[in-house]
Formats: sequence, structure tokens, C-alpha cells
Amino acid sequence: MSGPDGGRPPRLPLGPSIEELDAEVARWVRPGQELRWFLRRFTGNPSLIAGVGILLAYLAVAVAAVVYFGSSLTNPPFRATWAEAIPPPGPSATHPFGIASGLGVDVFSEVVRAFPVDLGLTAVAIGIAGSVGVVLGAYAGVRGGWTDLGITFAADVEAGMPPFFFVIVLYLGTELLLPPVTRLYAFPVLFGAVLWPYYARPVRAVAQKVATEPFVESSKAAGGTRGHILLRHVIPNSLYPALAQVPVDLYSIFFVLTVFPYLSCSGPSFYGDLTPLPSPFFPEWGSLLAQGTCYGFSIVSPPGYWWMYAFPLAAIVGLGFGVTLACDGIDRWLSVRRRA
Amino acid sequence: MSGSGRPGRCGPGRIVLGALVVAAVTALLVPAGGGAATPPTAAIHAFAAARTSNGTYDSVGGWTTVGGSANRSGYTPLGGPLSSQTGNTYCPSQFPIQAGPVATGSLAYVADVLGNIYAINRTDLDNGGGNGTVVWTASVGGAPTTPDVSSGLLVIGDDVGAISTFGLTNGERDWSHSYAYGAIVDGVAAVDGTVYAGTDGGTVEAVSLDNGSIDWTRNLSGPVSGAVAIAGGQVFASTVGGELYALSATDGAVAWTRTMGGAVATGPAVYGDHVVLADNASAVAVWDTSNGTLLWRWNGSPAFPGDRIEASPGITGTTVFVQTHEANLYAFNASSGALLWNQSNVAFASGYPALSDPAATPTVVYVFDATEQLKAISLATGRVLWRASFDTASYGPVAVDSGEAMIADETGCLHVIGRAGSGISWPVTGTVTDTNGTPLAGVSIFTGLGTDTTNGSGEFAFPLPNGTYTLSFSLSGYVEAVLPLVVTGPVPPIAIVLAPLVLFPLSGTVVDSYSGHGVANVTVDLYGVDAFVAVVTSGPGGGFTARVPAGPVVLDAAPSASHAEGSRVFTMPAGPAAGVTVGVAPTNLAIPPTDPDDVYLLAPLALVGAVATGAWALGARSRRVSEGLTPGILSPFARYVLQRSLIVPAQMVVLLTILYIFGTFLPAAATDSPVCSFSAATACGYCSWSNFGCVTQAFGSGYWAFISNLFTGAWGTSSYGHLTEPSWTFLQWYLPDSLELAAVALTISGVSAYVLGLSAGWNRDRPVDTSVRAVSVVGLLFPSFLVVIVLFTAIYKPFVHAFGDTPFGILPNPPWFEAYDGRVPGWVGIAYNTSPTGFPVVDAALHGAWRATLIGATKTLLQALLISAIYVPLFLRYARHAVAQAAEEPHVVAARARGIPESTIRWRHTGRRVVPIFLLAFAATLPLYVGTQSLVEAMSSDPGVGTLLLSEITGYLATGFGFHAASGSLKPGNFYQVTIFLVVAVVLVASLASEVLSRYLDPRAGRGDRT
Repeated sequence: MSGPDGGRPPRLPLGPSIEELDAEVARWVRPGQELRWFLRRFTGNPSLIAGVGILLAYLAVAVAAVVYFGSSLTNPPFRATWAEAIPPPGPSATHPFGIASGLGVDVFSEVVRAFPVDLGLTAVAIGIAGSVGVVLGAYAGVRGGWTDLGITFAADVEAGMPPFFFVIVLYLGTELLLPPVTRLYAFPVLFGAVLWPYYARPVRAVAQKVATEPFVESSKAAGGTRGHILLRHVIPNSLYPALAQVPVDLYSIFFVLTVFPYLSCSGPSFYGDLTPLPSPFFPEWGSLLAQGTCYGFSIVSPPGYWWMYAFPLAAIVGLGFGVTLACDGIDRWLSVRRRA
Repeated sequence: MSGSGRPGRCGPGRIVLGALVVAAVTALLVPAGGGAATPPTAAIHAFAAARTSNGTYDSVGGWTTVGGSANRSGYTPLGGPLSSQTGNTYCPSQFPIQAGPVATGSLAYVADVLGNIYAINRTDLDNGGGNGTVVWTASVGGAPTTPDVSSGLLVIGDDVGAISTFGLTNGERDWSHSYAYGAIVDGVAAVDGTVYAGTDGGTVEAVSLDNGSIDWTRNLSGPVSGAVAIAGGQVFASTVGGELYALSATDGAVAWTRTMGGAVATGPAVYGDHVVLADNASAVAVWDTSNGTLLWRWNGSPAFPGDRIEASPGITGTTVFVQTHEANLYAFNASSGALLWNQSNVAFASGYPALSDPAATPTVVYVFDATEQLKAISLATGRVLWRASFDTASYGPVAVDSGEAMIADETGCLHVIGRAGSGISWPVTGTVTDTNGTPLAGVSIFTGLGTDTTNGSGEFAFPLPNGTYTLSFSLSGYVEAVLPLVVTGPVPPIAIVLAPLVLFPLSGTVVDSYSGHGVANVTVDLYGVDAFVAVVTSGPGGGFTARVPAGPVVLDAAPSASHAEGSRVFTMPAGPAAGVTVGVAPTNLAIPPTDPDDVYLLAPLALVGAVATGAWALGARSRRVSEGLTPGILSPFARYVLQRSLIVPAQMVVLLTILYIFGTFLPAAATDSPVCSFSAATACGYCSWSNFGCVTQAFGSGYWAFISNLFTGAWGTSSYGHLTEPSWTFLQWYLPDSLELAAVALTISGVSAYVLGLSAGWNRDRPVDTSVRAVSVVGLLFPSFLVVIVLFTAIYKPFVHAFGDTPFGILPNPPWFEAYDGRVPGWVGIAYNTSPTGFPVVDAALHGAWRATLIGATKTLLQALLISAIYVPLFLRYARHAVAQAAEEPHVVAARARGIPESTIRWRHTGRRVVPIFLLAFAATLPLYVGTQSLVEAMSSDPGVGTLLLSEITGYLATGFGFHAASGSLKPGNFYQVTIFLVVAVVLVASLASEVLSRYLDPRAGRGDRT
């Protein structure tokens, strides 16, 4: 059926448009009612509040670190002399998180300086993987045909490889090409390139179902464009499997950031080829945790120099906790919407 | 160029080797040659003259940095040792010395590969070789480069681009800053309150010595090739591409640039108004420092084509001297460029290239060459005045200061030759005989300070200064004798009797590690206990026989015409042994041509296959039509299986392409290697990256070679510790262990995921569900390597208490076997591989070793539990949702309405429905499972494929198949690529199987789907 306006079905003369329907709804809703509904969805959703709260706190520390340390963010403000650092002093008034042996840095300032770095790394990696994956997955699900086949194939191929190894293969191939200072920026991009299928595949499956739902059909009938349908209806309603994926990806990212430095920390590639950090003094929780565990912990006589690993670990676990709660909360929030 | 730019030289094997050299054997006490010695006073006059000529010496004196001083001339007017009679060895580190030595006053400074800096008191003459002479230690974060001494500070740069300063006498850190310009190359120079450094990021930076703030930086055309030289208010820097820059020391402005012609691996050296640079084509050129006028150029010796220069050239007021890679030392007239003399030592004793920078005094040039000897050579005549032998390699520069020459080696020792006043030496004399009283000639005597050998009458005589020694007397075929000796005065003659070693016959074969065929005419050196050495040559079929002592025997196969070297360690029993193989890799990795006649053999088979398939298809179609099923040849289920299966080959092709591009091609691009070296594109010759046509050709042929090698099993050899074996052998050793573990771990994971998932999904938002969710969240948040550490910490002591063995590995560790059984049983191999099946626990049971079986099974179970603890939360994250949905499906609701008991509904109705969902979740999470098992294996030291893979990636396992940065070799593939390919192939096929099975079991698909 082709109408004068380029292939869209002709508007039925008597039916109301979307805008008219919206205005109709607005007439029935009392002023302030929408805000109250909005707030009620929050108050009945403690995990969303807790998760968002934790993430906001992390963000606040990150911003404070950037403001306080400024351009010297990546230089350690304190280095112990060797004599001080072996054995490393534990938490004290001057060094509340103690001092790490080896690098001789103040753990507190390292953990704080790492906030913007780690938040940036994870946000960019998951941001790229999530946005590319959700958009491609939803588009494939709605569009079908060869587009669907192509996207699904690409996702299936990539997802067959263990993401930890895949990202390391990509990294080993590209790190030598890049100047050391740019490797840090390449890292989340590589992660994005590796992790997007984990969003695209489940989102596509849900989007396929959503695309046939009555409200999508009616939006189509009301003249909604493909972009409008995708953004307004399909993506919000097929987002929930992507939200379940975010904590898993956080796990994958910190797996790579901790396991490889840990395994190579006492090996021949001492400060290894397997970390994107331009220098061992560059603040990053994974590297701090790996080195702290490697040099500060002994299986035979725990807990060793516990402050070297406990604080970076707390920072990582805290971030994961916040993200998991926030994602579960958003999922619940969206599902209320879905039911509504 | 000093050794600091080559961290890759110090591989794990070298460290092991260094540790095996029990006595840090150092200087060979060879009588001094009658060299002309210059009185020190003349030297001091020359020093003063040198200071006035360019005014860039630091006021400290000594050998303060690369090349002696900031002008990198490699020249000191202070004079070196006159003989090798005296000396001392200090071993502050267990790791290779990476930077230094530099010396000023009574202290010398070295830094090891880990970045630990040691200040050593050279006046401490305790010969213990311990580290009691270390005055202070400090550390930097990266691999260090040679420091500079200036204004009471030790200034040191490292390969992460940081510069740090330490107090000279107390090691207190003054400041440390990271600069984002790249790794510091070779060493910094601190002159007049400014620190200059060249980086591999292609910049020269000048920073304040007071606080590290940046004065200026200058970008050059490429990475800096060696230490920058500072002289006469100018900074001279060379790039790897062969550009020489003269920059203003005050603001970095470029005064002039010149091109060397070839690639350059060293830095420039300056003396007076001469600046000298040498390149990889063995060319040496000297320019005028003021305007860059070329004064002279030498284009390498025609007698040694292909020789190159990797050690920095040196320059005195009169002479330019360079050491080439092949251990030739050349001296030229500094003004005219006339070749004065050439001291050649191309006979490789060590197999190591000559890389150490030589150092010169007004009369002598000191050089450490490929024979592992420090030689003093007359600067006037080129004659060797004396030599000191070392049993270790050093790539670091020679340093000379006030009557001493210093060299630091890869076993973590600093050797100082010739400190005056190290005490009076007393002659130690004696004879060595066998048990019959026959004098023994050629007996090696190790003193800890040097070595000597007995003469034809079994007599020895060498001087030893006062001290405590452990003398060892060894001769191949005799039991080593050890004699503690305290020297405080004249030593009475010593009589040593060596008992003959008991030897047992050993027969073995040298085999081609690819084909397994015997290789003839290979020389095999056999090293055993008590300095036993035998040399045999393999006969036709590769066989050889020898008589060796019991205990570990190292079999070193020398390179032959067709094969590379090979090595293995064999534990000789106290009795005859046969069937010992030594694998050698063929040097020609060409793909064997396929027989063109093969096609005639295959064509009829293909024809028969095609006809049979066609007949079956027609039959199936007519059957379906007659039965009224959906038209077509295949059922919908079979069509699905076919379509799904076709994805796998496509996935593999994409996977191979990614592995090739990122594992082979891009690393070659990044290291600027001649890409044609792994291509058959000989027409291109040496092709650089700028030649696009050749690069595409190289890409294609490299890709072909990669895939061919991968699929023909031409995976080369790998070495892990002291083992060098065909890569295939490593897989054979490690794969069964992983399969055994996976079988247990997947069973535990499957059962617990099924029970937990079903209970949680069924009781949504009830305590079961909440706790499962909580566990899954914690499992996700806690970095998984810590999960492993926590469990091992918890069980370590109880485990050791219960079994007398540590919980690492799978089978009991060697000490357990030794304590329990007296020795490691014969069915356990050198890499803890087992026979006959290869599955460790199964083999232990087959041999009736019940305690070992119990320990092996317990460790397997522990690791399997660990894997489940990490993997099941990940799995449930995927599966829990689906279970909850299944619990609300119509047939469940209907069953409940019919009054069927709740437990029956739960396990029969929902449980069955859930199996296909779980299979899909398993397919989706299998890559995560593989990563988890690899991690647990590696952290438990379990000899499995996961350990192998992580070892390859983290660099413990040097591979012969592919590009390897440490060895600098470039071949079309990497062993980790093979392992990843195999692991992912298993994952892809297992995912396919689970998805197909899931579809098959899915009750919604119905029977119609499958018929």
C-alpha cells in the first residue's frame, strides 16, 4: 500500500492522532499526579535507591579526586623510601589505608585517585558495548531478514570466544602499535568491541517478540516512523536482558584488570605486557588489588599486609554492588512500567 | 648501547640457568700479559685536558653514567685495572642486572630487572659473594636504565617513562615523576642541574634536577635509539631510523640533523668536537659537533658482511673504537678515520652476541665479548693484555673507575676486577689424582673467585687473597670433591683424590619434533652430576648411546644442517635406560607439498558420496510426501540443525582471521619487522610497511602459512622452564588433565545449578531465591582470582595436615612422593603428565597408588568446587529468569489445577521444561566457563590446558611456532593462537551440541518438528 507521503499507510480520516491521544490523556490526569506516580515507583523500589545512591557517591568521590589532584592525578603524591616500605606500615593517622610495599605508595590516595580512572574505564567499556549491542540487537529484532542474519552471525561468532582471552588477543595485537599513553584509551574500546554481542543477542530475542505486540502495531498504524518505534517502544521494552548483563560485564572487565596483572606480577613480564596502564604508579583498582594480593598476601600465613588488597577490593566490590542494585532496580522500574 | 634497552634478554630460562650456577664463579685467574701500564699521573693530566675541551664532565668523577660521563665517550682518564689477579664479586640480587654499573667514590650502583637499585661498597672485600656489602637499596616502578650521578643524587629513568632521584649515600628518594613520553632509552644524563632523557616515544625531554618539572621537550622523527649525549651545551640524540640530532641544551632547538643511512641501535658518543655514531650495517661516521660536517665514514668490514653494531661506540682524544655484534673490535684514528687495528673473536664460545659497550682509558680498551671474557686490549696495538673469564653472560656496559673494571651480569652479580689493596694473595698449590694415584690433568678447580685447571702432572697453583673459600674439584667422569679452605697466610700443599663416577648405559634417539622421525648426525652433549660431560653423535635413524651417571642428565642437541638445537632433561636411574628421545625442530618450516595425484583418489569417492546423497534425498522426499508431512527433504528440526551447523565453519574462519591479524600481523607491524620474513613473497625481498603491494602480498602468504601450519600440526617447539618439547607434546601432556577436571566440575556445576535454579525460580522472592540471588551477586562482585585464593587459604593447613601434601597441582607433589615412596613413581612424567591414559587420577588408580589417587581425587574435587563456585552464579544470572517463567506456563497451571502434588509438579513438569533452557544458558556461558577453569587451573598449578594457555599469554612459555618478542623471531603463528583456536573450537562445537539438544528436548517444538 503506497500513499502520497512515500509508502506510509494513509491516515484514516476519523481516527485521532498520537498527539491528540496524548492530549486526551493529559486532560484526565490531575496536575502533579504524574510526578507522584513517578516518585511512587522510586519509593517502592529500594534497590534502585540504594544502587543509584552508591553510584552517585562513587561519582562524587571521582569528581572530588579530579578537582583535588588536578593535572597531577596520575602521579603518586607520596612515595615511601624503601626502608619505610619493607615491611610496609599499616593504616595510621597519616596513611589511613597504610602503605603498599613494592611501589611504596599511600594506599588511600591511590584508591581515591583511581576513582575517576576506573569509573571512566568501566563506563566507557560498558557504554560502548551496551549502546552498540542494544541498538544493533533491537534493530535486528525489528528489521529481520538479511540485516538480522548479518548482525546475529557477527554476534554469534564473537560470543563464541571467551571474552577474557578475546580481549587479550586483541590487546596483544594492538598494544605494540599504540604509544603507551594511548593504550589506556584503547582498552575500553576493545572491551566494547568484544562485549557488544552479549547485549545484542538477548535484546534481539526480546525485540522480536515486542515488535509483534499490539501497542507496537497500533503505533505503526498511527504512523509512527521506524526510528520512533525503535526508540520509543522497542528499546525500552527489550532493555531488561541488557540490564542483567551489565554486572556480568563488570565482572569480565575486572577479571582482565586483576587476573593478568596478578598472574604476571612475579613472572618474567614483571610489569607486564598485559595491562593498559602507562606506568605502575597509574592509579587503578585492579592493578592495586593484583599487586596488593601478590605482594601482600600469603596463603600460608594470612592475612599478611591486608591493607594492600582489602581497600582496592572494597572499592571494586562496592562499585559492583552499586551497579548490580541499580540495574536490578531499573529492571524492576521498567517492569512496573511494562505492566502499567 | 647498554643492556638496559633489552629487558627481553632475561627470560625465565636464563634466571633458572643462573640459579643453577651454584658457585658464582667469576674471574679466571690468568697470568697477566706484559702490557704497558700508564702511571696514573699521566691519566689525570689527560682528564684535566678533556674537561677543558668540552666542559661537560660532572664534578663528581668516576664512571657516573652510560659511557662514563654525559658525553657518552666510553672514556675515562682515571685508568683501569692492570691485571685480573685481584677482584671481587657482589651478588645483591637474584635477578638479572638491568642497569649499570656506575661508580663514584667507594660505591658502585646497579639495578636489577625488577627495578631494585643497589648501592654496593666496593671497599668491602668480604669474598662471600653475599649481599652484606649493600649499603642501601631502593626501587623504581619499571625496568630501570643506567643511572647518572650528579649533585649528590643518583638519577634513574625507567621503561615506564618515570625519572626518580635518590640520595647517593643514603638512597633516600628525592623526587619521582612519570612523564608520558614513553620508556626512557638506555639512561638519563644529568648535567648542570638538568636531566636529559630520550624516549622510545620519539622525544627528548629536559627536566629540572631540583624537582622534576619539565624544561622542554622535543619530538624527533622516531624512537630514540640510545642514551642521549650532552657536550658543549648541545644534546645529541639518535633515532632508530638513523637520524642524528644536535639540539640546544637550553631550549631544545634543533641545531642540525644528519642521516646515518641504516637503522641505529645505539646512542652517539662525543669527545671534543667529534660526535660518532654507528649503525646496524656496521657503518661508523664522525661529524663535527658545531655544524654537522661529516669528518669521515667507514662502511663496515667486507670480511664480515651482515655484521652490525649494537654496542655504543667509544671515542678518546685520539681513537674511535667500536665492538660489533660478531665480537670484532675495531679502532680508528679519531681525526682521519684510518683503521688502526682489528681484534677479532668470531669464534662464538657462548652463542651470545657481543652487546656490551666497551670502555677505554688512555692506553687500554676494556671489552666484554661473546666469549664471556672481559679483555684488556692495548689501545695502541690491539694486543690482548689480559683476560678474565666469566661463566655468565652480560649485556651491560663495562665500567672503569680508578684502577677497576666492572661488569654486572644476568645472575644478579657485580664483578669488580682489580681493586688495589684487596690483600696479599697466597699461593695455593697441590695435586689431584684418582684412586689409583694416577695424576689427573684438566681438573677444573672453582674457588668462588675464579677457576683454574690442573696441568699434565695433575698439579695446580693459583693465588688466593685472605678469605674463606669453598674449593671444588671436578672432572668429567669423577665424583666432585669439595674442600673448605680458610686462607690467612701461606697454604700447605693440598692432595685431592677423585673417585670415579659409576656410569650406566643410556640409549636414545634424536627425533624430528614434527614428524617423529630419527635425525642422524646431530651432536648431543650430555651433562650429568659432578660436572659429567659426554659428547655423542646420532647415527643413522637418530640413535645414540652413552654411559652417564645416575641422576638428572641434560641432553643438549646442537643445531645441525637441517634442524635447530633441542634440549631435554632426563632422570637417569641407577641402571640402564633406553628410549630417551631428544626433539629437534626442523629449521625449514616449509609446508610439505601435497601430492597432485591425490585428486584422482578423492574424485571417485566424492562421486559415490554425491550419488548416495542424491538417492537418499529423493527417497526421503517421496517418503515425506507419502506420509503427508511438511514438504522438503529434511524435517524442520534437521533443517535447523543443518543451518546451525553451518555457522560453525564460518565462526572458525572469522576466529582464524582475528587470531592471525592480532596475533601475528599487527605485532609484526608494530615491531617494524620485515614482514616478508614470514611470507613466500621473495620477489619483494625486504619489504617495509611503506611498500603497500608487498605488505598485502605478505599478508596473504603469511595468512596462508599460518593456516597451513595450524592445520598440518606444524606447531613448532615450546619451552617451559627447562623443557623444550614439540608444542603438540605439551598439549598431549596437559589436555587429559583438563578434561578430567572439566568432567567433574561440569557435573557438580550442572547438578547444583539445576537444583538451585529450580528452587530459586520456583520460590521467587522467597528466602531461597533471595539467598541464591545474593550468592550470585557476591560471586559476580568478588574478583574470581580472590575466590581461589580465599579457598586455598582456608584449606591449606587442614589439607597439609591431613595429606602431608600442599593442595596445589592434581597428583601429590614430588616431596610427598619422595617422603612416602622414596621417589616419584615412573608413571609420572617430567611435566607431571602420566601414563598410560594421561588422566592423572585414573592413572594413579590403575597403578594401585591408592593414597595418590585419594589426594588426586580430593584436589580435583576442590578445584571442581571452586570452578562451580565461580561459574554457577554466572550461570544462574542467565537461567533464573527462565525458570520463573516456566513455573507459570499453562501446563504447570493445569497440572496444579488437577491436584497433582506440588513436588511432582516442581520436578517433573517444570524440571523437564527447564532442561532445554538450561542447555541454552550453558551454551551462552560456556566461554565464561572455559575462562573460569583456566583461571582455577593456573592458580592451582594444575598441569592443564588452562595453565598452559595463561602461561603462554603471560609469557612463561616461550614458543617456537610464532612471533615472540623475546627471541625476536618472526614466524607465522603463535602457540597461544593454536591453544585458543583449539579451546574455542571445542566451545563452538559444544555450544552447537547444547543448542541442538535443547531444541530436540524442547517440548514446545513437538514431534512434528523432528519428523
